[in-house]
Amino acid sequence: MMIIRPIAHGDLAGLMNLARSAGVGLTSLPVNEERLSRRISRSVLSFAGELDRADQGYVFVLEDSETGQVGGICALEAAVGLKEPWYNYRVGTIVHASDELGVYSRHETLFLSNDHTGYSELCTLFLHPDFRANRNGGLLSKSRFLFLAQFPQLFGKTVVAEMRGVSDADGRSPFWEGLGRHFFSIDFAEADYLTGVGQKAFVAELMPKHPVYVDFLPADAQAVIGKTHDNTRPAVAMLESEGFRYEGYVDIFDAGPTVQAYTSEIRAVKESRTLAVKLADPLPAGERCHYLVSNESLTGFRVILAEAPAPTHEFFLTPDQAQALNVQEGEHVRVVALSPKENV
Amino acid sequence: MFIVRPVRTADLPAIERLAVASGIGVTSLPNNRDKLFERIQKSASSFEFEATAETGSEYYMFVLESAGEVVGTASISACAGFDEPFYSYRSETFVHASRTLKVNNRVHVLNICHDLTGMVQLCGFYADAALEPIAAELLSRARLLFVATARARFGRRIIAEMQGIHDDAGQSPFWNAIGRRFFNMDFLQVEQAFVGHSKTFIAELMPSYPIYVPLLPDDAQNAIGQIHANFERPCQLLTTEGFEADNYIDIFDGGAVLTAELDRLQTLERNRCYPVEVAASLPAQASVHLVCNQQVGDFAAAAIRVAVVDGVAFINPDAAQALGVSSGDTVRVVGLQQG
Repeated sequence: MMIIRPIAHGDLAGLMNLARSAGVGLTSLPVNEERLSRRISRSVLSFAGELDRADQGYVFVLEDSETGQVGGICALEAAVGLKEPWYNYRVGTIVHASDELGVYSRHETLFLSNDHTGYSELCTLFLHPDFRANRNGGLLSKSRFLFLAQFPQLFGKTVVAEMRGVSDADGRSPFWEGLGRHFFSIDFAEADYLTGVGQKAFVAELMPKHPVYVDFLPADAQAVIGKTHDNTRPAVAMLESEGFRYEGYVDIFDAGPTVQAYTSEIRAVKESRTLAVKLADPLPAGERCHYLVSNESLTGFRVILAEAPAPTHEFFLTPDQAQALNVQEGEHVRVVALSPKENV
Repeated sequence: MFIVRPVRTADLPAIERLAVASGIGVTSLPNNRDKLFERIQKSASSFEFEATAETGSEYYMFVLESAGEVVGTASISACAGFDEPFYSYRSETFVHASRTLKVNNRVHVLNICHDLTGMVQLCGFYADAALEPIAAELLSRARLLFVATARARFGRRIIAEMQGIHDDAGQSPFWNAIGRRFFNMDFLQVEQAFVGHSKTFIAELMPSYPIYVPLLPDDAQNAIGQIHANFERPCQLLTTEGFEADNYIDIFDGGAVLTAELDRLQTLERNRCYPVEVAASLPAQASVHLVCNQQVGDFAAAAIRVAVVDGVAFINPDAAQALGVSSGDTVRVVGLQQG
């Protein structure tokens, strides 16, 4: 059975394996033992309530309970931009018009913004290729919504997720070539790497601070503003189905969209319910759906995916499932349908 | 003999002819009869005006006359923009630096500004290209002799916009990269379409945020601060005078805007006043100078032979007539640039 749980110090070796299989593409998961170790420590301290909000980052792993193997990672930042600035470009509109001269023209502009300061962030999602089956992707990604629903006091009122922008097979980003390159004589891959290793604010400080008229960018750079990399389309579609929206904020390097939602309005947060556990083996007959099920513990937080009949006042778990969640009959679990269509 | 004098209403047909010949881009000499007439009237009332240090909308227009024919014109405005902001781009350097990343980038930026508002402005210069160089020098510098004569009418700093680069078809690379995106018109079309409106009116539709020069196409970048070939001579005259092309450029075609401290200009620093003596034959050391009378409404300047002996300026009767002076009157004299 696949279990989502907070990362622990003992996961370092498993995390290193994950990082190796992710390759250079995922800059937030570098093959660097020291950095990964620090990331784990920060998460452990966050769960223990020993860090300021600015530093809190919650990292979860997907573990196969039979083998103990770590097959995926996902994370939540409590609040971005509280220690160093968090940058986006906001795509704005400026109208230059004169009735008297018969002129009306509309122009898109890119405003450097820190508007998302204090927002929470969905980040660092990676599932090992061997585990990409049986709805594990949905479990891993959406498990975070149950955590948000269970512990809203730890997070901001809005959650953002940065989507990868358009780049070609060689990692060349047309937006970077059209804008960033002029201000920063390095390749996008290097800028991307610096971002991944926590140097984004430094890089951002070298970017133009004044609004940039989109008209002045080359056509291929203009074309990718707010556009997602092909490989990231499914992730965007998933977030959109949960209520996330593109509101005109893009990444300052590759112009990939940032999608956002009010925490309480995310489908899996809003529709999740707490129900009493009822043990059954086998589960009662009837039409079954996939449910994300979590316990109510902070440091012992667990999420599993359960195929169960639609619940009424209680939620049926097998003893194995209850054990995986560390819950007894009569205790409460938080439940939500895995996908929007399968309403609780 | 070349004479520079204030424009008169009767000069309208000649001015119109010059406006047509001046072609594209000289926004201060519109090819529009009503506007030209308006300017002539404005100039006439400015010369009549009992001016004080409180400068305002005065606009002084001069013509260059040769054998009774008008062959050039030039103007001076007491206050660029007057009751409207006068827009220009200021070239600035932003340093984007990071100690941590060991990066130090200088970025060239154009920032729209009103810095030049209210300065004295030389404008509307046009002389037939075929004229000899001394005629152009007289036309250009006569305005400064007028400033020296009526110093209280003008402020401290002075500017002159030089026409930027454009090709024979009127295409300006700078305009095409910036202005065109906001108007979707050729520079020429804008000029014609908006002839009834001030330049400020158009400027207000231009981008108001700084423009990052590295984002502009190369030909537009190369046009920044450059001067159209037709303007090389007037520009040379002014730089010799003491004008400098520093950080300001025209927001439409990217041409240089020259600036100077009025009292530091050659004409203002080096001119001297002498009582005049009209003589049919001049002393041997007589040579060509720029000379003007001490009038405002009847201002006249000419490039004539003059000899200064014991503090008296000797000129011949023709010149005296042209300047409207007789023996005992005072004239203002300054040497030629080549001299």
